[in-house]
Amino acid sequence: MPKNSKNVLSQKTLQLIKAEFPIHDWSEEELNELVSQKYGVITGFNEILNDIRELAQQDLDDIEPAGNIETVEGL
Amino acid sequence: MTADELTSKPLYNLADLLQKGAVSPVELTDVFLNRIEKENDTLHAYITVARKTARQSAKEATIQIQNGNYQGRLHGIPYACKDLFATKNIRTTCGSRVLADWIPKMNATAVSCLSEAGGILLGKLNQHEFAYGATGKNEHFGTVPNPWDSSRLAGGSSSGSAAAVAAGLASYALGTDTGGSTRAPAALCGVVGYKPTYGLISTKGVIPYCWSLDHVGIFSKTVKDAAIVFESLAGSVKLDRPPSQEPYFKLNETPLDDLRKVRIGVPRAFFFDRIDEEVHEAVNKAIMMCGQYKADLVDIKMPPMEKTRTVSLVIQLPEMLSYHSRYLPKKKNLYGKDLRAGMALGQFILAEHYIQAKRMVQWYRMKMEESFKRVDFIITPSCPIIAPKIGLDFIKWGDKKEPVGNAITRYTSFFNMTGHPAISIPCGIHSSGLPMGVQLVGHHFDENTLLKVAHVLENCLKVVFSVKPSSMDIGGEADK
Repeated sequence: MPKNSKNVLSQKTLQLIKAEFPIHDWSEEELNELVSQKYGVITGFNEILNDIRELAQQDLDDIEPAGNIETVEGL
Repeated sequence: MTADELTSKPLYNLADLLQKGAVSPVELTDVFLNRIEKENDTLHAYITVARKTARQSAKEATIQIQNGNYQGRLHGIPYACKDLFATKNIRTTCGSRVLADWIPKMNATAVSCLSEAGGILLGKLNQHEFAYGATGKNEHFGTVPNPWDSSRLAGGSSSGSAAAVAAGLASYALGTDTGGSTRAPAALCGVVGYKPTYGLISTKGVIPYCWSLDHVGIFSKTVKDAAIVFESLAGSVKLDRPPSQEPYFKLNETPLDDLRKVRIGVPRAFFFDRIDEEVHEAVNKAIMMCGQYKADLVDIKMPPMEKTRTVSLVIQLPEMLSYHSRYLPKKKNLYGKDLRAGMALGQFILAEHYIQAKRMVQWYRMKMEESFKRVDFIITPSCPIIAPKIGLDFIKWGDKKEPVGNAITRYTSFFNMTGHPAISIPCGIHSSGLPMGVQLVGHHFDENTLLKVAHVLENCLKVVFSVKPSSMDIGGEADK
């Protein structure tokens, strides 16, 4: 994964994935929200992808995925 | 005592009145039902009002108390829960048209616990659809306005829970908290919002948003009220514990006179960036107040926080999509547009990135273990902004814009990942007339100390509101 690359996601990319992969039948409008954000509920997909590019480079050694929090005695 | 006086009283005051027989559960329930009848058309806090079952439960509780069978401080107290909690024979929509007609056959465990404690369920509260967003916008059942200013949001996702308690439409309420959906709307509406340690309250029968991060949350007027409710819910995750075993949590009501020997960590970076100036000032005042009450204030360093919202979303969205896959083939168009877009986004997150995010969470927990060796609590603002205007999608910070939902949960979502118990309490009134909140975060499972310290801080700040949406007057003081 190239460092600091900030590619801009295109709707065509999503359409191609949708055509090839066993995924749900997202409409053009739904895919368009991923490319060009309108709703201010969560971070836009392009920004998430850029963050993921950075996060994926972090060496976490042998840290396992988080599970439950260790409970206290008696519970 | 007038109806307005009764609905504005803290739970523990109502419990005293019920125990003494000064008011009956039937009278109290009718007072709340009448208020709901009057206010709910404009507040949209309730999706379903369970008048018939509430009155029936109230009659039973009245007879029990009259016969000397008083069961404790939740007996006969009217409350409500977010519509994400399954309720036996009462419609449970999750704020969505997808489940518009679902009538569960079982109660969620948390609802069963409150029912066993004698609680009177008034109805089911509005929310962001399936708890997806922090704005509380709901195109199916109406967006809940803030009881302090109807042009603004109550916040979410537990919008109805926050607004109902703030407006006196329930004595207390249950919500959920996956990224701040209890603490943030509580801060925006001027009530207490408490999220116990991850896993301490059962989520069985609560429709999941994100299994890894979902917590049950409590909304109340005071910290003491939250503690009383928590006492009945704590340990519900293990209801198969032997009956002889002591309750998991016993509220220690010996008040602390001050905060001597309490070490409070102040994370100056991130938690005080991009924040409304008056919120910053109010939280600083709360921190100084802790110092005046002899707490040791310690500057602490947190793990890198800037990407934590993304880490949380990379977990939330695929988990949400996984749950909703069962409905999507036939009911996709019944979901709101924002939720459909969120699920679509979850579809394109790769498995490796989901796992990396879960490993980041473990890393955050390890880092926080180190930080918590130096302090007993962490104090932060609950929310960087006051309640935003309805219809506003982005907040501008200089030349950058932030989605409103991200801003609302910016200071809370990290502690869903680490699972620490956290509580938001009101800390003042902004010049716009809106409430602001301060967040205290404690050690895993040390709920008792967190609640006691929050109670002291609440008393120091002397900010306990009882809001009436019709008149917007403020009254009451912290418990002395």
